Amino acid sequence: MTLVRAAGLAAVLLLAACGRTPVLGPTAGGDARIELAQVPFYPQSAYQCGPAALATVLGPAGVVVDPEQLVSAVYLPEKKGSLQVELVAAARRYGRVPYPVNPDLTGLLDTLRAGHPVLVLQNLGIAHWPLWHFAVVIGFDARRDEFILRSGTTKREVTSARRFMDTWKLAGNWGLLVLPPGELPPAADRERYLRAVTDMEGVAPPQALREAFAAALARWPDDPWALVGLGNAHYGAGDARAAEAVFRDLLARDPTHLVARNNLAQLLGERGCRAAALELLDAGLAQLASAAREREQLAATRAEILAAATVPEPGDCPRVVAAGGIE
Amino acid sequence: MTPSNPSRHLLTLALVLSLVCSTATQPAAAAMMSTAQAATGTRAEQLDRVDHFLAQDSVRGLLEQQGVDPADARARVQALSDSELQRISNNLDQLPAGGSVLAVIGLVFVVLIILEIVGVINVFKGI
Repeated sequence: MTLVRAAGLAAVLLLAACGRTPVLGPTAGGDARIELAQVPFYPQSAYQCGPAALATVLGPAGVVVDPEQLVSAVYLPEKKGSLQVELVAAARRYGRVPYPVNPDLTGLLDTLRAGHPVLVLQNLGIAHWPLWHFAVVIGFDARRDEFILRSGTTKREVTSARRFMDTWKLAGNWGLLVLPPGELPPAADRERYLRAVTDMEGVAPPQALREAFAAALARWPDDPWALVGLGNAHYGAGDARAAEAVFRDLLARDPTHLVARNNLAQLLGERGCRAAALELLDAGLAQLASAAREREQLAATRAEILAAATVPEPGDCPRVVAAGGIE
Repeated sequence: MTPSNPSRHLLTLALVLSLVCSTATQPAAAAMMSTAQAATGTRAEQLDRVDHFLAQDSVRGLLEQQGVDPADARARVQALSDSELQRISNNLDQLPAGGSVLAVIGLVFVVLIILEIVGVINVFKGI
Protein backbone atom coordinates (compact mmCIF):
# COMPACT_ATOMS: atom_id res chain seq x y z
CA MET A 1 0.00 0.00 0.00
CA THR A 2 2.68 2.45 1.12
CA LEU A 3 4.91 1.56 -1.79
CA VAL A 4 2.07 2.00 -4.24
CA ARG A 5 1.35 5.44 -2.81
CA ALA A 6 5.02 6.38 -2.94
CA ALA A 7 5.18 5.30 -6.56
CA GLY A 8 2.08 7.31 -7.33
CA LEU A 9 3.52 10.35 -5.59
CA ALA A 10 6.76 9.91 -7.50
CA ALA A 11 4.90 9.80 -10.80
CA VAL A 12 3.01 12.99 -9.98
CA LEU A 13 6.18 14.81 -8.93
CA LEU A 14 8.06 13.67 -12.02
CA LEU A 15 5.26 14.84 -14.29
CA ALA A 16 5.18 18.15 -12.48
CA ALA A 17 8.94 18.49 -12.86
CA CYS A 18 8.72 17.92 -16.63
CA GLY A 19 6.25 20.71 -17.01
CA ARG A 20 8.40 23.36 -15.34
CA THR A 21 10.14 26.13 -17.21
CA PRO A 22 13.93 25.77 -17.41
CA VAL A 23 16.15 27.54 -14.87
CA LEU A 24 18.88 28.29 -17.40
CA GLY A 25 17.71 28.40 -21.01
CA PRO A 26 17.40 31.74 -22.85
CA THR A 27 17.39 33.82 -19.64
CA ALA A 28 20.93 32.65 -18.88
CA GLY A 29 22.31 34.87 -21.68
CA GLY A 30 25.91 34.64 -22.92
CA ASP A 31 27.52 31.27 -23.49
CA ALA A 32 25.05 28.41 -23.53
CA ARG A 33 27.57 25.92 -22.24
CA ILE A 34 30.64 26.19 -20.02
CA GLU A 35 32.69 23.40 -18.54
CA LEU A 36 35.96 24.14 -16.75
CA ALA A 37 37.30 20.67 -17.47
CA GLN A 38 40.82 21.48 -16.24
CA VAL A 39 39.61 21.96 -12.65
CA PRO A 40 41.22 19.15 -10.64
CA PHE A 41 39.22 16.42 -8.94
CA TYR A 42 39.84 15.16 -5.44
CA PRO A 43 37.42 12.43 -4.38
CA GLN A 44 36.42 13.04 -0.78
CA SER A 45 37.07 10.58 1.99
CA ALA A 46 34.34 9.98 4.58
CA TYR A 47 32.63 13.24 5.62
CA GLN A 48 35.49 15.31 4.25
CA CYS A 49 33.81 17.17 1.42
CA GLY A 50 35.13 20.46 2.88
CA PRO A 51 38.83 19.71 2.44
CA ALA A 52 38.18 18.11 -0.97
CA ALA A 53 36.12 21.05 -2.29
CA LEU A 54 38.66 23.56 -1.00
CA ALA A 55 41.56 21.74 -2.66
CA THR A 56 39.52 21.71 -5.87
CA VAL A 57 39.18 25.53 -6.00
CA LEU A 58 42.70 26.22 -4.68
CA GLY A 59 44.15 24.34 -7.67
CA PRO A 60 43.03 26.80 -10.36
CA ALA A 61 44.11 29.66 -8.03
CA GLY A 62 47.67 28.32 -8.20
CA VAL A 63 47.87 26.26 -5.00
CA VAL A 64 48.31 22.54 -5.50
CA VAL A 65 47.40 20.95 -2.20
CA ASP A 66 46.10 17.55 -1.23
CA PRO A 67 42.83 17.50 0.75
CA GLU A 68 44.59 15.48 3.45
CA GLN A 69 46.80 18.49 4.15
CA LEU A 70 43.71 20.67 4.59
CA VAL A 71 42.03 18.41 7.13
CA SER A 72 43.94 19.93 10.05
CA ALA A 73 42.91 23.41 8.87
CA VAL A 74 39.20 23.01 8.22
CA TYR A 75 37.83 19.71 9.53
CA LEU A 76 35.90 19.35 12.80
CA PRO A 77 36.11 15.70 13.88
CA GLU A 78 33.17 15.87 16.32
CA LYS A 79 30.92 17.58 13.80
CA LYS A 80 32.11 15.33 10.98
CA GLY A 81 32.17 18.36 8.74
CA SER A 82 33.66 21.75 7.95
CA LEU A 83 32.42 25.29 8.53
CA GLN A 84 32.09 27.82 5.73
CA VAL A 85 34.14 30.42 7.61
CA GLU A 86 36.97 27.98 8.07
CA LEU A 87 37.17 27.28 4.35
CA VAL A 88 37.37 31.05 3.86
CA ALA A 89 40.06 31.35 6.56
CA ALA A 90 42.13 28.51 5.11
CA ALA A 91 42.17 30.19 1.67
CA ARG A 92 43.65 33.27 3.38
CA ARG A 93 46.44 31.23 4.89
CA TYR A 94 47.47 30.22 1.37
CA GLY A 95 47.53 33.87 0.29
CA ARG A 96 44.42 33.50 -1.85
CA VAL A 97 41.51 35.96 -1.83
CA PRO A 98 38.22 34.36 -0.71
CA TYR A 99 35.49 36.40 -2.40
CA PRO A 100 31.82 35.55 -1.84
CA VAL A 101 29.99 35.51 -5.17
CA ASN A 102 26.68 37.32 -5.60
CA PRO A 103 24.17 34.94 -4.03
CA ASP A 104 22.07 34.40 -7.13
CA LEU A 105 22.04 32.61 -10.46
CA THR A 106 23.64 35.52 -12.31
CA GLY A 107 26.50 35.73 -9.81
CA LEU A 108 27.16 32.03 -10.26
CA LEU A 109 27.03 32.09 -14.07
CA ASP A 110 29.16 35.24 -14.38
CA THR A 111 31.88 33.68 -12.24
CA LEU A 112 31.89 30.49 -14.31
CA ARG A 113 32.02 32.52 -17.52
CA ALA A 114 35.05 34.38 -16.18
CA GLY A 115 36.73 30.97 -15.91
CA HIS A 116 36.50 30.40 -12.17
CA PRO A 117 34.93 27.37 -10.44
CA VAL A 118 32.65 28.18 -7.50
CA LEU A 119 32.75 26.38 -4.16
CA VAL A 120 29.14 26.03 -3.01
CA LEU A 121 27.33 24.85 0.10
CA GLN A 122 24.30 22.70 -0.61
CA ASN A 123 21.60 21.31 1.58
CA LEU A 124 20.90 17.91 0.04
CA GLY A 125 18.21 17.17 2.61
CA ILE A 126 15.21 19.29 3.47
CA ALA A 127 14.93 22.50 5.45
CA HIS A 128 14.11 20.80 8.75
CA TRP A 129 16.46 17.90 8.18
CA PRO A 130 19.53 19.43 6.62
CA LEU A 131 22.31 17.40 5.02
CA TRP A 132 25.07 19.90 4.40
CA HIS A 133 27.47 19.30 1.59
CA PHE A 134 30.27 21.24 -0.08
CA ALA A 135 30.81 20.83 -3.81
CA VAL A 136 32.36 22.78 -6.66
CA VAL A 137 30.36 24.02 -9.65
CA ILE A 138 32.55 23.76 -12.75
CA GLY A 139 30.01 24.43 -15.50
CA PHE A 140 26.51 24.44 -16.89
CA ASP A 141 24.61 23.53 -20.02
CA ALA A 142 21.72 25.89 -20.70
CA ARG A 143 20.18 23.76 -23.45
CA ARG A 144 19.98 20.70 -21.22
CA ASP A 145 19.23 22.90 -18.19
CA GLU A 146 21.96 21.28 -16.13
CA PHE A 147 24.86 22.16 -13.83
CA ILE A 148 28.13 20.24 -13.77
CA LEU A 149 29.88 19.73 -10.43
CA ARG A 150 32.86 18.09 -8.78
CA SER A 151 31.07 16.52 -5.85
CA GLY A 152 31.94 13.91 -3.26
CA THR A 153 33.37 10.90 -5.05
CA THR A 154 31.86 11.87 -8.42
CA LYS A 155 34.26 13.57 -10.78
CA ARG A 156 31.60 14.89 -13.13
CA GLU A 157 28.23 15.13 -11.48
CA VAL A 158 25.53 16.37 -13.79
CA THR A 159 22.45 17.62 -11.98
CA SER A 160 19.30 19.32 -13.19
CA ALA A 161 19.55 23.07 -12.80
CA ARG A 162 16.36 23.18 -10.78
CA ARG A 163 17.47 20.48 -8.39
CA PHE A 164 20.80 22.24 -7.92
CA MET A 165 19.21 25.64 -7.37
CA ASP A 166 16.87 24.13 -4.76
CA THR A 167 19.75 22.59 -2.80
CA TRP A 168 21.78 25.79 -3.10
CA LYS A 169 18.89 27.98 -1.98
CA LEU A 170 18.34 25.79 1.09
CA ALA A 171 21.96 26.58 1.99
CA GLY A 172 21.53 30.33 1.65
CA ASN A 173 22.94 30.56 -1.91
CA TRP A 174 26.45 30.60 -0.46
CA GLY A 175 29.18 30.45 -3.07
CA LEU A 176 32.87 31.23 -2.79
CA LEU A 177 35.35 32.31 -5.45
CA VAL A 178 39.01 31.76 -4.54
CA LEU A 179 41.24 34.15 -6.45
CA PRO A 180 44.98 34.35 -6.90
CA PRO A 181 46.22 37.69 -5.52
CA GLY A 182 46.36 40.31 -8.24
CA GLU A 183 43.24 39.10 -9.99
CA LEU A 184 39.85 40.75 -9.50
CA PRO A 185 36.50 38.95 -9.54
CA PRO A 186 34.10 39.60 -12.43
CA ALA A 187 31.92 42.67 -11.71
CA ALA A 188 33.97 43.20 -8.55
CA ASP A 189 32.22 44.87 -5.64
CA ARG A 190 34.71 47.34 -4.17
CA GLU A 191 33.82 47.00 -0.53
CA ARG A 192 33.42 43.23 -0.60
CA TYR A 193 36.79 42.79 -2.33
CA LEU A 194 38.64 45.17 0.00
CA ARG A 195 37.06 43.54 3.04
CA ALA A 196 38.18 40.12 1.77
CA VAL A 197 41.75 41.32 1.27
CA THR A 198 41.87 43.29 4.54
CA ASP A 199 40.84 40.17 6.44
CA MET A 200 43.97 38.50 4.99
CA GLU A 201 46.23 40.96 6.84
CA GLY A 202 48.45 39.22 9.35
CA VAL A 203 47.47 35.82 7.92
CA ALA A 204 48.54 35.78 4.26
CA PRO A 205 52.11 36.37 3.07
CA PRO A 206 52.75 40.16 2.67
CA GLN A 207 53.61 39.70 -1.00
CA ALA A 208 50.10 38.34 -1.65
CA LEU A 209 48.63 41.38 0.10
CA ARG A 210 50.76 43.74 -1.98
CA GLU A 211 49.50 42.17 -5.19
CA ALA A 212 45.89 42.10 -4.05
CA PHE A 213 45.84 45.77 -2.96
CA ALA A 214 47.74 46.82 -6.08
CA ALA A 215 45.05 45.14 -8.17
CA ALA A 216 42.40 47.06 -6.24
CA LEU A 217 44.21 50.34 -6.94
CA ALA A 218 44.42 49.52 -10.65
CA ARG A 219 40.65 49.15 -10.64
CA TRP A 220 39.80 51.95 -8.14
CA PRO A 221 42.67 54.45 -8.43
CA ASP A 222 43.64 56.43 -5.32
CA ASP A 223 41.17 54.55 -3.13
CA PRO A 224 42.17 55.47 0.46
CA TRP A 225 41.31 52.08 1.95
CA ALA A 226 43.36 50.27 -0.69
CA LEU A 227 46.25 52.71 -0.24
CA VAL A 228 46.42 52.02 3.49
CA GLY A 229 46.36 48.31 2.70
CA LEU A 230 49.17 48.64 0.16
CA GLY A 231 51.27 50.75 2.55
CA ASN A 232 50.87 48.23 5.35
CA ALA A 233 51.59 45.35 2.97
CA HIS A 234 54.83 47.01 1.84
CA TYR A 235 55.76 47.46 5.47
CA GLY A 236 54.88 43.85 6.28
CA ALA A 237 57.09 42.75 3.39
CA GLY A 238 59.99 44.71 4.87
CA ASP A 239 59.92 47.54 2.32
CA ALA A 240 59.54 50.52 4.64
CA ARG A 241 60.53 53.04 1.96
CA ALA A 242 57.76 51.91 -0.39
CA ALA A 243 55.34 52.06 2.54
CA GLU A 244 56.48 55.59 3.35
CA ALA A 245 55.89 56.71 -0.23
CA VAL A 246 52.33 55.34 -0.16
CA PHE A 247 51.42 57.03 3.14
CA ARG A 248 52.98 60.32 2.01
CA ASP A 249 50.91 60.17 -1.15
CA LEU A 250 47.73 59.45 0.82
CA LEU A 251 48.39 62.19 3.36
CA ALA A 252 49.05 64.69 0.58
CA ARG A 253 45.64 63.82 -0.87
CA ASP A 254 43.88 63.97 2.48
CA PRO A 255 45.63 65.80 5.34
CA THR A 256 42.88 64.64 7.71
CA HIS A 257 43.63 60.95 7.11
CA LEU A 258 44.55 59.84 10.57
CA VAL A 259 45.89 56.38 9.69
CA ALA A 260 48.14 57.77 6.95
CA ARG A 261 49.45 60.40 9.36
CA ASN A 262 50.05 57.95 12.19
CA ASN A 263 51.72 55.30 10.07
CA LEU A 264 53.87 57.81 8.20
CA ALA A 265 55.04 59.28 11.50
CA GLN A 266 55.83 55.80 12.79
CA LEU A 267 57.86 54.99 9.67
CA LEU A 268 59.75 58.27 9.85
CA GLY A 269 60.45 57.69 13.53
CA GLU A 270 61.77 54.20 12.77
CA ARG A 271 64.36 55.55 10.37
CA GLY A 272 65.48 58.32 12.69
CA CYS A 273 63.52 61.29 11.32
CA ARG A 274 62.28 62.13 14.77
CA ALA A 275 61.63 65.84 14.26
CA ALA A 276 59.44 65.34 11.19
CA ALA A 277 57.60 62.47 12.86
CA LEU A 278 56.80 64.51 15.97
CA GLU A 279 55.74 67.50 13.91
CA LEU A 280 53.35 65.32 11.93
CA LEU A 281 51.80 63.94 15.09
CA ASP A 282 51.54 67.32 16.79
CA ALA A 283 49.82 68.78 13.74
CA GLY A 284 47.46 65.82 13.82
CA LEU A 285 46.71 66.27 17.50
CA ALA A 286 46.01 69.94 16.87
CA GLN A 287 43.40 68.95 14.27
CA LEU A 288 41.51 66.74 16.69
CA ALA A 289 39.02 67.79 19.33
CA SER A 290 40.28 67.32 22.85
CA ALA A 291 37.94 64.41 23.55
CA ALA A 292 38.52 62.55 20.28
CA ARG A 293 39.33 58.87 20.74
CA GLU A 294 41.87 59.09 17.93
CA ARG A 295 44.10 61.21 20.14
CA GLU A 296 45.07 58.09 22.07
CA GLN A 297 46.54 56.41 19.03
CA LEU A 298 48.54 59.47 17.93
CA ALA A 299 49.69 60.08 21.49
CA ALA A 300 50.81 56.45 21.82
CA THR A 301 52.84 56.69 18.62
CA ARG A 302 54.32 59.96 19.84
CA ALA A 303 55.31 58.41 23.18
CA GLU A 304 56.93 55.49 21.40
CA ILE A 305 58.99 57.77 19.17
CA LEU A 306 60.09 59.81 22.17
CA ALA A 307 61.05 56.64 24.04
CA ALA A 308 63.24 55.34 21.22
CA ALA A 309 66.96 55.98 21.36
CA THR A 310 67.98 59.07 19.40
CA VAL A 311 70.15 58.58 16.37
CA PRO A 312 71.69 61.21 14.05
CA GLU A 313 68.98 62.34 11.63
CA PRO A 314 69.53 61.05 8.11
CA GLY A 315 69.91 63.72 5.43
CA ASP A 316 66.77 62.83 3.50
CA CYS A 317 64.14 63.39 6.19
CA PRO A 318 61.08 65.16 4.79
CA ARG A 319 60.19 68.64 5.95
CA VAL A 320 56.77 69.25 7.47
CA VAL A 321 55.05 72.35 6.14
CA ALA A 322 52.74 74.72 7.97
CA ALA A 323 49.41 72.93 7.45
CA GLY A 324 50.81 69.68 8.76
CA GLY A 325 51.51 68.42 5.24
CA ILE A 326 54.87 67.17 4.10
CA GLU A 327 57.32 67.84 1.33
CA MET B 1 32.94 38.71 47.33
CA THR B 2 36.50 38.75 48.64
CA PRO B 3 38.85 41.61 49.39
CA SER B 4 41.04 40.51 46.50
CA ASN B 5 38.35 41.49 44.01
CA PRO B 6 39.43 45.07 43.29
CA SER B 7 42.96 43.99 42.52
CA ARG B 8 41.65 41.25 40.28
CA HIS B 9 39.62 43.85 38.41
CA LEU B 10 42.71 45.95 38.04
CA LEU B 11 44.62 42.97 36.77
CA THR B 12 41.89 42.21 34.25
CA LEU B 13 41.83 45.81 33.14
CA ALA B 14 45.58 45.85 32.74
CA LEU B 15 45.41 42.62 30.79
CA VAL B 16 42.68 43.90 28.51
CA LEU B 17 44.55 47.15 27.92
CA SER B 18 47.76 45.35 27.17
CA LEU B 19 45.86 43.17 24.71
CA VAL B 20 44.38 46.27 23.10
CA CYS B 21 47.83 47.74 22.77
CA SER B 22 49.34 44.56 21.46
CA THR B 23 46.74 44.31 18.70
CA ALA B 24 47.94 47.67 17.45
CA THR B 25 51.09 45.78 16.51
CA GLN B 26 49.37 44.68 13.36
CA PRO B 27 50.88 44.62 10.81
CA ALA B 28 54.14 44.61 12.73
CA ALA B 29 55.33 47.60 14.73
CA ALA B 30 53.67 48.80 17.91
CA ALA B 31 52.29 52.06 16.57
CA MET B 32 51.33 51.08 13.02
CA MET B 33 47.58 51.12 12.48
CA SER B 34 46.10 48.15 10.63
CA THR B 35 44.13 48.35 7.41
CA ALA B 36 41.07 47.11 9.29
CA GLN B 37 41.35 50.20 11.49
CA ALA B 38 41.34 52.36 8.38
CA ALA B 39 38.20 50.61 7.20
CA THR B 40 36.12 51.03 10.35
CA GLY B 41 35.47 53.71 12.92
CA THR B 42 38.17 54.01 15.52
CA ARG B 43 35.88 53.73 18.51
CA ALA B 44 34.02 50.70 17.25
CA GLU B 45 37.34 49.22 16.28
CA GLN B 46 38.79 49.61 19.73
CA LEU B 47 35.74 48.05 21.33
CA ASP B 48 35.96 45.21 18.79
CA ARG B 49 39.58 44.68 19.66
CA VAL B 50 38.74 43.75 23.22
CA ASP B 51 36.09 41.36 22.01
CA HIS B 52 38.56 40.02 19.49
CA PHE B 53 40.79 38.50 22.11
CA LEU B 54 37.97 37.20 24.25
CA ALA B 55 36.37 35.72 21.14
CA GLN B 56 39.65 34.15 20.06
CA ASP B 57 39.91 32.35 23.37
CA SER B 58 36.34 31.14 23.35
CA VAL B 59 36.48 29.97 19.73
CA ARG B 60 39.75 28.16 20.31
CA GLY B 61 38.08 26.33 23.18
CA LEU B 62 35.09 25.47 20.99
CA LEU B 63 37.33 24.08 18.26
CA GLU B 64 39.20 21.94 20.77
CA GLN B 65 35.88 20.59 22.04
CA GLN B 66 35.15 19.59 18.45
CA GLY B 67 38.24 17.39 18.43
CA VAL B 68 40.71 19.82 16.87
CA ASP B 69 44.33 19.60 17.98
CA PRO B 70 45.14 22.61 20.26
CA ALA B 71 48.06 23.72 18.06
CA ASP B 72 45.85 23.60 14.96
CA ALA B 73 43.05 25.41 16.81
CA ARG B 74 45.38 28.31 17.55
CA ALA B 75 46.36 28.71 13.91
CA ARG B 76 42.75 28.35 12.80
CA VAL B 77 41.37 31.12 15.03
CA GLN B 78 44.14 33.45 13.93
CA ALA B 79 42.96 33.15 10.33
CA LEU B 80 39.42 34.26 11.26
CA SER B 81 38.25 37.87 11.02
CA ASP B 82 36.59 39.58 13.97
CA SER B 83 33.10 39.15 12.58
CA GLU B 84 33.75 35.49 11.82
CA LEU B 85 35.00 34.92 15.36
CA GLN B 86 31.88 36.58 16.66
CA ARG B 87 29.65 34.39 14.52
CA ILE B 88 31.32 31.16 15.61
CA SER B 89 31.52 31.99 19.29
CA ASN B 90 27.84 32.90 19.36
CA ASN B 91 26.41 29.86 17.61
CA LEU B 92 28.80 27.13 16.57
CA ASP B 93 26.12 24.52 17.16
CA GLN B 94 23.70 26.10 14.72
CA LEU B 95 26.20 26.63 11.91
CA PRO B 96 26.03 24.28 8.95
CA ALA B 97 29.00 21.93 8.80
CA GLY B 98 29.23 20.41 5.36
CA GLY B 99 30.14 16.75 5.20
CA SER B 100 27.86 14.94 7.58
CA VAL B 101 25.84 13.19 4.89
CA LEU B 102 27.14 9.66 5.50
CA ALA B 103 26.41 9.73 9.23
CA VAL B 104 22.69 10.01 8.73
CA ILE B 105 22.36 7.47 5.99
CA GLY B 106 23.08 4.41 8.10
CA LEU B 107 20.29 5.32 10.51
CA VAL B 108 17.38 5.89 8.23
CA PHE B 109 18.31 4.24 4.99
CA VAL B 110 14.85 3.16 3.91
CA VAL B 111 13.22 6.53 4.50
CA LEU B 112 15.99 8.20 2.57
CA ILE B 113 15.60 5.81 -0.36
CA ILE B 114 11.91 6.67 -0.58
CA LEU B 115 12.53 10.42 -0.30
CA GLU B 116 15.24 10.13 -2.92
CA ILE B 117 12.93 8.25 -5.29
CA VAL B 118 10.14 10.77 -4.98
CA GLY B 119 12.63 13.57 -5.56
CA VAL B 120 12.38 15.38 -2.25
CA ILE B 121 16.08 15.00 -1.40
CA ASN B 122 19.32 14.43 -3.26
CA VAL B 123 21.42 12.60 -0.70
CA PHE B 124 22.88 9.76 -2.70
CA LYS B 125 24.34 11.91 -5.39
CA GLY B 126 26.21 13.92 -2.81
CA ILE B 127 28.10 11.19 -1.00
